[in-house]
Amino acid sequence: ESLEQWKTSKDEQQLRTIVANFYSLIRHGLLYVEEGIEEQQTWIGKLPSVAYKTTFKTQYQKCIITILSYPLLPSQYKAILLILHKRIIPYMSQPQGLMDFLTDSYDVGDDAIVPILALNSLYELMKKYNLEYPDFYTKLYSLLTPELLYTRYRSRFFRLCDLFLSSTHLSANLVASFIKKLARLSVAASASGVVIIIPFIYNLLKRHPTCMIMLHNPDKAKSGDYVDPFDNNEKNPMNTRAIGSSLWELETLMTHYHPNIATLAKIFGEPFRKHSYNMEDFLDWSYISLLESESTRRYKTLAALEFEEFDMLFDEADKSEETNKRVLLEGWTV
Amino acid sequence: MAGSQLKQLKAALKEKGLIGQTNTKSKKSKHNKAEVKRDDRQHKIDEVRNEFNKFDTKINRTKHDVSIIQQGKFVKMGSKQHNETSARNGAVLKTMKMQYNLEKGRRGKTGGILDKRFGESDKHLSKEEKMLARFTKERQNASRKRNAFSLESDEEDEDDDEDGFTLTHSGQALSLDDEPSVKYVDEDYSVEDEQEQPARKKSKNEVMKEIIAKSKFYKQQRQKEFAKTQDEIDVLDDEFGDVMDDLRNVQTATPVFSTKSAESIEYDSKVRELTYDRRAVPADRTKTQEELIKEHEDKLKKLEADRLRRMEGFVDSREAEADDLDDEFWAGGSDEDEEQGFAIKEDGGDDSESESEDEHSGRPKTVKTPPVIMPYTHHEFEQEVSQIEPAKQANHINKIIQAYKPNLAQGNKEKMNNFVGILFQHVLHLANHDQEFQHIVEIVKKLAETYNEKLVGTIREEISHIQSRILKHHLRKSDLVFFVVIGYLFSTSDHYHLIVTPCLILMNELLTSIIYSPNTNVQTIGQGIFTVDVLLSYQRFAKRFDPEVVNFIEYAMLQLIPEPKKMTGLDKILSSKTESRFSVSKTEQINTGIISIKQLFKEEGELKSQLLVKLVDIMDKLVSLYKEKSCLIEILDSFIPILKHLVKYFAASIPNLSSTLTKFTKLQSNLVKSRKPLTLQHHRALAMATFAPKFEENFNPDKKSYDVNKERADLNKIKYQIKMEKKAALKDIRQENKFVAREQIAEKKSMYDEYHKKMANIVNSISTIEGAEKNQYEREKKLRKNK
Repeated sequence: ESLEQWKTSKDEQQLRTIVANFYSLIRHGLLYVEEGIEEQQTWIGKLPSVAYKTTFKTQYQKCIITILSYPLLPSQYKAILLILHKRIIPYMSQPQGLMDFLTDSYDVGDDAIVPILALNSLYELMKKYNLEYPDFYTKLYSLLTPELLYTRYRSRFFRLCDLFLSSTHLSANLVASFIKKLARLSVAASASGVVIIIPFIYNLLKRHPTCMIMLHNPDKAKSGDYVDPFDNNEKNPMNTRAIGSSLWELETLMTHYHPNIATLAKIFGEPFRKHSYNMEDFLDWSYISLLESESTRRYKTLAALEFEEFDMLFDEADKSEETNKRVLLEGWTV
Repeated sequence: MAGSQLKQLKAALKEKGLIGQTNTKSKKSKHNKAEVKRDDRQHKIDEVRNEFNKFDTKINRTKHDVSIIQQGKFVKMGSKQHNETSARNGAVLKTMKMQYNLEKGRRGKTGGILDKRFGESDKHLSKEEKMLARFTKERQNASRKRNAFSLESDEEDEDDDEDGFTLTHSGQALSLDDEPSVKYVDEDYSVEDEQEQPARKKSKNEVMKEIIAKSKFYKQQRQKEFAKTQDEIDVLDDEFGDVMDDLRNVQTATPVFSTKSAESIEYDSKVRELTYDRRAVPADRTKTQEELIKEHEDKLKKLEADRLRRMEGFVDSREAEADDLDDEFWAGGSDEDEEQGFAIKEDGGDDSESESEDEHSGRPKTVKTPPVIMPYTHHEFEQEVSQIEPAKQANHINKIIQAYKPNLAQGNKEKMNNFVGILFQHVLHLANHDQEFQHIVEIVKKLAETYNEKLVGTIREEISHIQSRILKHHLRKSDLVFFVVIGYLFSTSDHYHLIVTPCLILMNELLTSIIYSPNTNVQTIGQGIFTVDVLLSYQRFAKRFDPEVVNFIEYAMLQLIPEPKKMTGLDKILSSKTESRFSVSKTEQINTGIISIKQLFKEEGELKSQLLVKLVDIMDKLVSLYKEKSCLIEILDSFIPILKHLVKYFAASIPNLSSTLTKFTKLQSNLVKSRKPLTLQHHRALAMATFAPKFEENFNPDKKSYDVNKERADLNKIKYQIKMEKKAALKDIRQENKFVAREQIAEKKSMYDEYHKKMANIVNSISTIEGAEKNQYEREKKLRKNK
């Protein structure tokens, strides 16, 4: 708003950066902010007066809020959100002031990543400052999009999601919706996403045994006409009627191309003896780490060979005459 | 025992013979007693003293003098006999002692005779071993006796009667036989003879020495001769090859020396050859056509069964511990166990074939240096091959393979191993340079079984290269060809495969990276579509589900369809929604030709429409592949709107489009009808854990079990009994062992004591005799002095 306020707050900030290492982390966080960089350079002067912490905090808060009100680039936006809950919120006198900012960013519709990033700080506020967020689960449910499983921040999201859904007092409808939605997403998810989804669903089912009906529903299976009641487009997780549906997607995953994922998915066909999966083991897989674990395997026995004979690898370019040759990859040529 | 302490003491001492009248005993007994006195007096006194020291004995005092009946006897309460365990132990000890003594007496005896035969009682030795051991023992005994002090020379040993044992005096051998200085009377005759024969008669010693010297000399000579002939043989051996070569040449060149006619020579050689031939064995009956076909079918069936087994991936044992194993994997541990299930029996088809080929071609006469040179690096090979025209390359490679068969020379196997890797690299190299590589792939396939390990190593290296290229979004033609070649070489249906599994991961990574790469263009989408097709061809048998493929097909479709804004039913799409950038224009001419990999790397051309056609094709392929997957409905849900949208524009120009769409809709409606909720948890219901303590209605401390199931209770009872029996038996065995050990120690002790006593006696007697002699001497001396 006013440059004057901006400058005074900067003043305080410089003081902090010089006087105490304690705040250096915040400075690093703030350095990403536009304009501030040049001004900081000019304001490095000696200000020996020891200010009070509370004033620091209030000043700091003002500063932060003004900065956040600036028009930010998307990358800066994400960068701030990334550090907000760890580096900024703890040093503010009234973090409630950030509420508007966070709820706004949580409601951002067109970018899938921003709400995921905002989630962390939002949780921090809810935990420490009793923030009430209306329709929190509805919003959380809406975050379950196909992109989610391909983003880099999926582990971050699932860590929190695990936390939010850890309560056993949630309604079965809600949990079933989450389970069904995740299963649906897994039909087009990356291998690393599937790796997260399977133990996640297992843990949810274990916590909410009423949802086991989605895996085992013999009464409905016997009766004649059955129509899948699940509504994929319903926004409210309470109204999706997922509880009446079944997790065919997971059954399909039992034949996933990755052998370990396939066997992991087979737990749904076995007694639920395991108490719960430790999610940390599953969150941070990527194609690279999957491949790495393959490359460290030792050569033990003959790698099995294909015994089917193909005459050609590729089709011939000019398929003028009809040949009886078996071609491995039809419709392509060198 | 009665009376006062003093009386008791007296009685005890008297009993031991320490006090009391001694004159009543006879003289003999008195003598004995004196000896006893000397040795044991002190000991006996100690014994008596101990007996009478009441402070050292333990008594269980009872307030009331009560006697009870125990084991049929009256026993005083609190007395030694009353102590139940000690009484029992005493009885047990007694029987054990009896048993032990009995066994000791019988040890090593058969009947009444001590059996000293070696290994007679050893049950672990077989009859032959026993015989052998006895024989060696006998020989050892004999030899030990003979050469107790013999030195190394054998001859002496044979001649010497004294077994090499000679008496010496100041270094000179002593002998009773030869004493040249001593002359007997009857030897005087020979003095004149001696003068006649200048050499006097040699002593036996000298004769022997001479003989020894001679024999040694001869021996040396014999050795020399032997060495010489050996050398000559060696030289001949060395020259043999040359001579044989010469001979062969000579034989063919100048048959003059041979008196035989050419025919007879031939005949002879044939005969000689025949002698070396293996004797004819009745050959297997020539198989009929049907039998051959059946054999082939059987082989295929076996291979098929193997493949199925691998596809299931160790099903039986895995299911039980599936999640345990997996946890380890996901937690970062590597479950190597998994691979154990995929051990494949090597049938060694190639090996045996190549060997039999060799046999047919006859024994190689001389190993000539191969005319083709084995390349060591791919670079070398490339240079070499580039000089040869493409048609003859396969021939050249075959020549190399022939020349370096592993059974021709040592080290060929390693060379061939290396060569297979080079060939594989060459395939990729050719693919990069748009050259024909089909024939080389076929060769690699033939070699793949024999030289598996090195090939696998090369491919794994290549995989890591490709991964780095994928991360850089810079793919080569060879990378796409690589995947196809892998599918051609290896069994892609396996549950786990050392090569195929990483390739699958790699291809899916490629698909994902194409979608989310910042510089996607039609070419990269084309590459992705190609990869999708390869992936589907990998799954043609195992039909494993691949979510990334679904995702990519939808993505590619959305990128390519014309006028995406007008599309309805977008909400059903499974994949993420992105605006299409490469949409085919409405009026574009549809080209349904075959797409070449080259095109995928060239600049943009007529590719879009071709790719679109291809995608429809692939959709059809995917749906028919995943026909049995329960979530096909969802996949179709998202495919159908796309096709519906597409039909609006290209119904006429894409031939399969409308038929595919109708097929899809029909299939979906069928599936929706037939799909039933899952019943995956068909096992017995799990018991819930309860924390409430269990109460027994009629609790009885004596009752051991409250099991309602009678059979189980009985079983448990028997189990318990067996356990207790086992425990008791073990205890008995231990007790017995301890007892035996104690007995043995006591025996040894007594043996030593006896020995020491005996020695003491001997020393004693000697000193007595000495003393007596001394006394005698003194007496004599005195007598003489007195004289």
